[in-house]
Amino acid sequence: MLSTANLALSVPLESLIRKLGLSANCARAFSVHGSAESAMLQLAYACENNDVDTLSAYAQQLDIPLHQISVAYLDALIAASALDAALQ
Amino acid sequence: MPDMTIDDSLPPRIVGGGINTRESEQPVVVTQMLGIDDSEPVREEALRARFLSFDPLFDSASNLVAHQLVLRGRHTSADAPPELQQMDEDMLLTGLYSLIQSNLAGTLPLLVQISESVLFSDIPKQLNHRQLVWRINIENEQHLARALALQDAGLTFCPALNRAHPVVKESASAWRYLACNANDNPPGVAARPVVEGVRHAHTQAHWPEHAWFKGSFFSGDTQPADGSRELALQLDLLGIALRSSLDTLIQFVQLNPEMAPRLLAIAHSQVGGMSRPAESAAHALIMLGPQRASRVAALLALTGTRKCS
Repeated sequence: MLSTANLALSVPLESLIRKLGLSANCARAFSVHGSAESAMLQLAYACENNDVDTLSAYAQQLDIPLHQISVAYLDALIAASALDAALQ
Repeated sequence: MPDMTIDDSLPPRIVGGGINTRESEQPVVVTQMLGIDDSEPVREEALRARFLSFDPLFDSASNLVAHQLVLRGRHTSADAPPELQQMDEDMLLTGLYSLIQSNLAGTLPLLVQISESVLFSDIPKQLNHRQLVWRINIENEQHLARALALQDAGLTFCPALNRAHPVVKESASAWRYLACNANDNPPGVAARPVVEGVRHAHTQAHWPEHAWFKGSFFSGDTQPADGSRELALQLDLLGIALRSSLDTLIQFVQLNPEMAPRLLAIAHSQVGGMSRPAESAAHALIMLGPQRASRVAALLALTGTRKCS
C-alpha cells in the first residue's frame, strides 16, 4: 500500500519517509536500490506497470512463483474496486 | 501582573465541553465536537479550518516516547486580533478536554503547550491527568513561582527556561523535563531534555542519551500553508496508522470527526471486512482490531478523508 503513497499524496518520496517516521526497513526499501526490501517494492511497481520482463526478473530474484504474484495482484484489484465502490 | 494563586471562587472556564480562556462573564463554547455558539460564526469557520493532531517525540534510539497535542491547518496571523489568537489555545484545550473526558487512552506522556494566561488560570489543575506534561515558557520569577506551586500540587511541567534570567536559569534542576532548542547547549542537570526544532539527523549527537526529540525532521511543519490542510491531515493520519497505537488512532479520529463517514464506508466495505455495522468511527476501529484498523486508516489517508478530496 505504501508503494503508492507518494503518488497518492503528491509528496516527494524523501519528504514522505521523513514525515511518516518510517521504520529503517521501510525507509531502506524506498530509498536504496539493490536491497532485499527494495526488490519487493520494484516487483510491485513492475506489476503496476505491467512490465513483464522486470516482473519476471524480480520474481526470480525473490523466488516467488509468478502465479502467486498474479493471484495477489488480482486480489489487490478486487479490493481496490470494492474500495472505490464503497467511497462513491 | 497575573494572579499567582488558584482562585476556586472564579467561575470555571471549562464550559459545555469547550474552553474559553478569555475573561468573559458569558462562557463561550468553542468545540466543534460538542456544540457551536451561533452568535460567533467566525469561530465555526475557524474551527473548520483547523484540526488537532499528535506530533511524535522520539528518543535517541528512534523509539516513539511521547506526543505533543498540536493544532494544524490555517494559521492565525501574528497581527490578528488577540481574540482570534486566543482562539487557537481555546481549541487546543477543548481538544484536550475531549481527550480527558474519554479517559486519554494510551500510556505515553502527552505534552500540551499553554500560554502565560492559562498557566495563571485554574485550567491546568482542572484538566490535569497523570499523562499530561504542560509545556510552558518561564520568563521571570512570577512564572517560576506559579509553575513550582503547581508542580508541588502534582502537575508535571516541561518548561523552557529564560537563560538570561539568573533565578529562572538556576531552577533547571527542579524539573523532570526541560524544553530545549536544538541549537542550545544541553543543560547540565538530571532533567530529561526535550529537544525542539530538530531539523537534521545529526542534531541528536549533541544531546545526552536520555533526551527526547521533536521537530519538523520527524513530523513536518506544524503549520502547513493555506490549502494544504487536507494533505496535512492525510499525512498525519497515515503516520499514526503506520506507527502509533490503536488508542492514538481512535483519539485522532475522535478529534477530527469530519473523517468519520469515509472511515466507516471503508470499514464496512469488503476491504474493511466488518461482519456487522459499527455505531461510530471509534467503535469501528475497536471492532476491526489494531491490524485491520491500521489498514483501514491508511486507506482512508491515501484516498482522502473527505469526499471532495
